[in-house]
Amino acid sequence: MKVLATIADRRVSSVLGMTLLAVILGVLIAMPLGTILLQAVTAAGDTAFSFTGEHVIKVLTGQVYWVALLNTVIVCGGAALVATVLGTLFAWIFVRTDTFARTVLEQIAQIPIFIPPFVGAVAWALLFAPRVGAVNRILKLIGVPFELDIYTHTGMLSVMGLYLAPYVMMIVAAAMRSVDPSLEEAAQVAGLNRMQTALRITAPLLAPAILSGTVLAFTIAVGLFGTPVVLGWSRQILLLTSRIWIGTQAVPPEYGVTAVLSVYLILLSAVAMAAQRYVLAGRSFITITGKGFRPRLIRLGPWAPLALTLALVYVVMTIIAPLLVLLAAALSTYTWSGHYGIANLRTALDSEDVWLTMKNSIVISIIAATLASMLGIVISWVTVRTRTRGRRLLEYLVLLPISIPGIAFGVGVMLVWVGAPVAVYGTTLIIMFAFIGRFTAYSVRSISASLVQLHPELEESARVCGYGPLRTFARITFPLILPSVIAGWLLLFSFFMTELSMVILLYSASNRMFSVLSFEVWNVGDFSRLAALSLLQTSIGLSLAILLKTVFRSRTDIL
Amino acid sequence: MLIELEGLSKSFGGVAVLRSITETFAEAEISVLLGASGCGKTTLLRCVAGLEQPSAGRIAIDGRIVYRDRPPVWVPAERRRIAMVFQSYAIWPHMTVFQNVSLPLRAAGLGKSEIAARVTEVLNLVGLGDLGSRSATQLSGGQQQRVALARCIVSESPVILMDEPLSNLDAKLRIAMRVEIGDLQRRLKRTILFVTHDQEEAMSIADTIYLFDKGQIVQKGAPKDLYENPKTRYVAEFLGRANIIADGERATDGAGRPVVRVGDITASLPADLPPAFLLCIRPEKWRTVSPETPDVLRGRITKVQYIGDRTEFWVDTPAGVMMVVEISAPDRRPNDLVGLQVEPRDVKVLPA
Repeated sequence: MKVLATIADRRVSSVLGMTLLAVILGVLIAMPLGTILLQAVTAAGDTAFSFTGEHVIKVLTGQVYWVALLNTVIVCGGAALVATVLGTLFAWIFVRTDTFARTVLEQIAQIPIFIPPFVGAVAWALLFAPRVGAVNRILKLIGVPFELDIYTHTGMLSVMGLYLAPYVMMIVAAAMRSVDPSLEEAAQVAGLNRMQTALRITAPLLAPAILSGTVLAFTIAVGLFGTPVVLGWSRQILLLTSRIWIGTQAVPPEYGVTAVLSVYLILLSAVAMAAQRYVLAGRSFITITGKGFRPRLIRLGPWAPLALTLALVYVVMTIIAPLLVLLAAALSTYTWSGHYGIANLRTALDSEDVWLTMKNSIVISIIAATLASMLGIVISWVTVRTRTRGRRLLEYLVLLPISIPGIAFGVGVMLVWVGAPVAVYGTTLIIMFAFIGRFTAYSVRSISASLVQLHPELEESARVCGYGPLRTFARITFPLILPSVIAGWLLLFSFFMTELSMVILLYSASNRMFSVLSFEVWNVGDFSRLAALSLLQTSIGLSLAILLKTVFRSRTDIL
Repeated sequence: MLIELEGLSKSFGGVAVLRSITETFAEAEISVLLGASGCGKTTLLRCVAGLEQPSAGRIAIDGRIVYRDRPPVWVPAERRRIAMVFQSYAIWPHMTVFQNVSLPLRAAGLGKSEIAARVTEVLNLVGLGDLGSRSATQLSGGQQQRVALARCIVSESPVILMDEPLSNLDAKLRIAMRVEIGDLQRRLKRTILFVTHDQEEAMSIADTIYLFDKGQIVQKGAPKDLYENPKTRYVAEFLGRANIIADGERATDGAGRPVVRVGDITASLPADLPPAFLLCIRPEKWRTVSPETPDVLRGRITKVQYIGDRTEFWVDTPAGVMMVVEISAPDRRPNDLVGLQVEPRDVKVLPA
């Protein structure tokens, strides 16, 4: 009888546990997404609840929204294209050729991911703004008759593409490492020369990975807020994300319109993914497993210096030049005054605002990253280790936000709580909800990946030795997955510290974060102070990146 | 299609993998390169294929030099007119079975109708006649193996290289494919270089076995020759199992010829005896008799394994523990006293 009771107990506790998880994910993920859809078709005002087509009609008939959609497609599509070309090229250089220092360069080339997109945009504005940009001043000084203009469609998509390239690079590099080299050798033996082998065997094998890199870059680009605003504002090249922000700043806020625009964003990334799925139907040949191959290296010979130069130029453009220009700007009294001094940096950072927002950022990021990691552990364990009914749905729900553009998710979270009877809106809680809802997916990916590689027999043998399930988890499973938990935590922490796309919609006086402060400083045009703040933000991002790379051996592949 | 190697050497970063190998692999035969992993057999195969560049020496396929260190000659893999089966099969996953098999013909620039005819014929030959339009990712291990084989024979290239082609199959299928490859060879008369680490596979399929150790061929010969007359202890122990006796006692028989005594057994020794030598007796060569029989090696059984078609047991004798294999043995039990006899010609003398 005791045994039967235990089995019943277990079933009850498992049902309870799954219900709790479902409620958490429902509130954090399903509700924001549902609310977007709902808000897009219901009338404003919290008393009456009625369906209306007014928001949809307003967006469909408003020329500015069509322009924003067009701009988004041009800039984000272009950025995805740039990222794909660069990412694939660098993956090839680092994985398939004998370029000097390629292993180190591959690690360094991933670092731009940790430079906040907003900061990257600020730095590039300082470099390439018409007339005042550092590079343009130098060009003028040496008598070059033209100048580069970053505040254009081309400028925007180039900067975004440069910073999105590492995502594509990581996906394609992983794919290149999992192609069995004998597939190419067999083609050669069959009579194809190198070029034919590359075109008929290698390229088709890698195409799916390249395409998914493109779609990922596009999805991220579509949800970016900081970069397009910083680079597009002066000529009013506004993207959907900029329009969403404008909508929330309106008095009264145009929630219906922002909801419709968010649906646009979600549709854009959904269309990209559907296209990917359609093109790849049944053509995903490479399963990226733990099994790695050592690809055959191509001797570049006389081309080797070119490959090395390309890689170095990339590192200079995305990391070194931005850092240098930020440093120079931060040290000068106002932009390019010619007067430099550490005092300027000190003044810029020595304000209560800086430390208050920094404290907020750190506290919110630590708590949110910890909660997301804990949720990630539970969900990974349930999906990988149990056969509980509903676990697939749980997994789908938690991974869904990866494909939702950041700012759209932020709109959803805002809409859920803005009229809610509980006081979440305006507190730090709402930002944490948004962070956890949108980013737990990365934690789940990181932890699941290591849990899958952990043979269940390790746990089973502990059970046989007399440990109960909890002790087994605490003494066996947890210590073994800890590195991936920490790596996931650090990644989330570094994202949260610089997140702007969602925070810009959710902050209020009491929960301002550092990224918001930077944005405000940009808004008033104090580029010298902005550079100082950006420098601080970047150094945090870079230290975390280096920590991840050196101590935890690069688990950035979970992106 | 002879394959000739002369002074072929290859080293990876200072580590010699092939040490100046000079060898000729016979036309229209299956030559098996056998050895433990890391012995250089696969590297040799890849050098012949043109997938690895040797450090020194010369490779000629049917009299045509495809590699020579100096004056340098290098024919890339795609122009060596060879075919190869890879350990992983290397079936291109983005192509159908038909496309996989037809690629060598397309690379050679053959016409569409001829390609179709030949591919169909070869697919029928390997028993995949109705799978031509199947995607390569939807094949079982055995079917992939057949596609690899079909791709290999379709080009009618006279030389076929096989790199552990059966090691990814399960035991039953492995044995079946072994037989099939042998049948195919008898029909097609290609020159096959076959790499394996499985000695049973080597024995069953080879016309000639080339046994590798540390980058050199230590002995070659027909399977039976290699098994019955190993030249070194390494060969004796790598191919099958062997009882090695180090402390045989030298003596002379009545006629003054040198003999060696092991217990009460006497075996004759060859005249050109190395100063230090070992005796090698295969476990199935022992005859088990009653311990009272004269001129036997007496001992007690320590361990018995009943395998089904044979019984294996170990006998603790004054000359050491001897392994014995008996077909249809009476019940053997540990602690039984037995006597072991062996034909003098089955006692092999090896250099120590």
